[in-house]
Amino acid sequence: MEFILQNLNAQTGSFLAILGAAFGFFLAAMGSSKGVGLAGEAAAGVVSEDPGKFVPCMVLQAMPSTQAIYGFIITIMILGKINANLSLEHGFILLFAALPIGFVGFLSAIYQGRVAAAGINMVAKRPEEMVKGIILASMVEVFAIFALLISILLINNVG
Amino acid sequence: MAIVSMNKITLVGLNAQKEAIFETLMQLGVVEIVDYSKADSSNEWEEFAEKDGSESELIRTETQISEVASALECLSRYYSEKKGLFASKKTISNQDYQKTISESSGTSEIVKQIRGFEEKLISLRTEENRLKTLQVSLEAWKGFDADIEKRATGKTTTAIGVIPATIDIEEFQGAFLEELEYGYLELINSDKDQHYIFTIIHNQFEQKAMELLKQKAYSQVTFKELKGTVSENLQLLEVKISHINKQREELEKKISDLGKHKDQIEVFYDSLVMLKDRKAVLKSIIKTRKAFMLKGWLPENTSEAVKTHLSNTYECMVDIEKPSEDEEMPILLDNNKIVEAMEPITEMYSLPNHKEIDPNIVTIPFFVIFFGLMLSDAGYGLILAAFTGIVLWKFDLAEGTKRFMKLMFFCGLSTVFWGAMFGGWFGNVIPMLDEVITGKTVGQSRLFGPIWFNPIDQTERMLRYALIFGVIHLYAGLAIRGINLIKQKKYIDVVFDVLIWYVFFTGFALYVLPYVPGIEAQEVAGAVELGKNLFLVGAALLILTQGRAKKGIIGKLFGGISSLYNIIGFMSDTLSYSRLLALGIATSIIANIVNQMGSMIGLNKVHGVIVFIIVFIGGHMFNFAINALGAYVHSSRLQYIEFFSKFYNGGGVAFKPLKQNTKYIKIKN
Repeated sequence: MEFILQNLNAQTGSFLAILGAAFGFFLAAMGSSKGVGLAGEAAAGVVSEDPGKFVPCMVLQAMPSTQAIYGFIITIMILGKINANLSLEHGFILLFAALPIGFVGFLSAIYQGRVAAAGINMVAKRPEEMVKGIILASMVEVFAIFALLISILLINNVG
Repeated sequence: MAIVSMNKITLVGLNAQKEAIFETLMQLGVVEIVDYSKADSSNEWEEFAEKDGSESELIRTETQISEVASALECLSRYYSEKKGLFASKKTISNQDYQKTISESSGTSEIVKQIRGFEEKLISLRTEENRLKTLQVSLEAWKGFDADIEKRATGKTTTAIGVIPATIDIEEFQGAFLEELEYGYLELINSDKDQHYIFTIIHNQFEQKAMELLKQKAYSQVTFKELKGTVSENLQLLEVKISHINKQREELEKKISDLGKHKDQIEVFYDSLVMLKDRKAVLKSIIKTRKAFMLKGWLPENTSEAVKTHLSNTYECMVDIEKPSEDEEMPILLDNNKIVEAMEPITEMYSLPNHKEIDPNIVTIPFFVIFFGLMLSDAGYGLILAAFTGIVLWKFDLAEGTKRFMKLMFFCGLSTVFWGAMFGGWFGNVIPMLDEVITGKTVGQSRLFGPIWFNPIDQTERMLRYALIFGVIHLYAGLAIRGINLIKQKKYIDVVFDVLIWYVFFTGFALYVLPYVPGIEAQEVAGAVELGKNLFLVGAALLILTQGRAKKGIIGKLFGGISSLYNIIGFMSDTLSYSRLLALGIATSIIANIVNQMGSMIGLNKVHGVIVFIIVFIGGHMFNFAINALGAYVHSSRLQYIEFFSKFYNGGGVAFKPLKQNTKYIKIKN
């Protein structure tokens, strides 16, 4: 029994960590996909009226993509910690460390996408106010940044 | 003081010189004319004077402007010229300007020509569209080789028409021929929507035939004004369309030939815009039969010069007076060449009002430092500084763009500084190449290692510094609140609203020190004890003082206690600065990942090196773009939300002098 548990431990640690690495990225990237998609629909509408507004629309559209990047960072950081003798405890830590950026990234990217879409509509009427649209969207981004920070701090618990 | 103090100006002049005086005012560009009825609310003037300005003249000028603008737009479509990366205004001398203006009747003739050509182009396009639609609908009848118009002999009538594609045409054809004697039905063509049929019907059976056809939702098709067969008509259409195309090319050529007058038209446009501005401002002044009067603002330091210039040149009376203390004045900022770079960012939030100091001089160092901390890669910083530096040096930029470029130049330098401190030069590319060349694992680079420390390895240490930067920034904000209160001569409030908060916040910050990651509770026990005392003293003082504006002892006490809630705001404001760390290491980590991905094939092979170079350039460009945008936005946000909320009321109205607001030219006197 003890023998089984010990063997299990050695591999379960890595297994859990890989699970975390996958979670961190795919949740955040799913959110980003939805967010960028939402903003992109609005952007296409505006650009069809006025092709000259492509650049400001594109900048706003790209904003919700940062969550996927943060997820990517966490995934790479977790993969960097995985080795043959990762303990079960550390495996759990890495799994849970991925959750903040995963879940917060998922939701914040969607909501940021909505704000970005609204910002794009604003650019349609008042192109000079683009920066304000960016700032409004970045208000949502803050939570993803905090989630990234917490995830990094949690990962650092694994020596 | 960075806010320019203003004087009030009153000018009385003769109507005969009105045009000339306004042109001079516009050339000087330092006087803002205010609406007279707002400046003098006594309404006594209504007895002897009336408001100037004519709406119809203004509208006439505006119409002319939009005509010239549409001609210019048309020109730019068919006449291409080389444009620089950054459009700059052409400088022309006053004489050249006057000369061009004196030829303006010729210019407006050219404008009229261009507009005429454009109208013709539009009608050609409409005609072409009509012909093309006809072409498409004729195309379906291509297989029909008889004449297209409706024919009737004495006894029969021919017709063409369509029925929906859902109907089985063969069955219908059979039924039709069976039921009608002397009837004829031929299927010409079918597509996914309908069948195209040709019918010959004996007049006797017309009613019956129509009934049969109606059942199948038949509708007759007629081509008015067309004679001959379908293929003849199609050929004719081809000819007509190619003729239109030729005409269009000729017109486009004519328009582009007029392109050589573009400069002249642009000057004309600007002169019209200036004329419109001068006419629009007339609405704000009052006039009698012979004289007019205006009131306005002008910067204190130009007052005397303007007064002498005007009263020496014209028959007029100029009166300059200082505004009273509480009077709201338009805001003009005057900062040195470095600090002015910050003005657009502050203006996006709000201009300071006249009772505050201009925050730009305090904002700019924080903005630049925070930007550097968040981009935090010396390589990116070098690119940013070099690019903006060259643009600033080589191009004659519009004022707004120039300030932005300047700010980005400083931010680039700051990024180089912090990147060097943290050892990031395009991520870890230098130690990586070092390893490849020497074949040894060196870890940190020997040459370009971190001068201070590497935040990726010591996240908690960096978090600590990020929060300390935050506290410094917030304390600076409180200090400016104190300065503003001193400026408003509210000295007691400086103690109550600034100093006590310092005590309270410092106490709180020291008290929670052990909760900051990476700090041992035992090491800071003394500070915690001190913090606890400061915190309690501060809290007691706040309870006693913060409700002082409220009525009644309970109201005062309640106001005091509720002010303690601000501690939550202080805490969340401070934690907000942790983004300095998060965005900073995000840049470094992505940069490292880019380098790692690029070197996957191996740098000891030729194609490996090529892949590395491609990934390196593409990846770092992407990382630079996304993080520079992030650094800019979040650095702004830290000013707007965390910093300005401590002291800034804003709400100032910008100083808008009557000046030469041109789009294409700059007139040199």
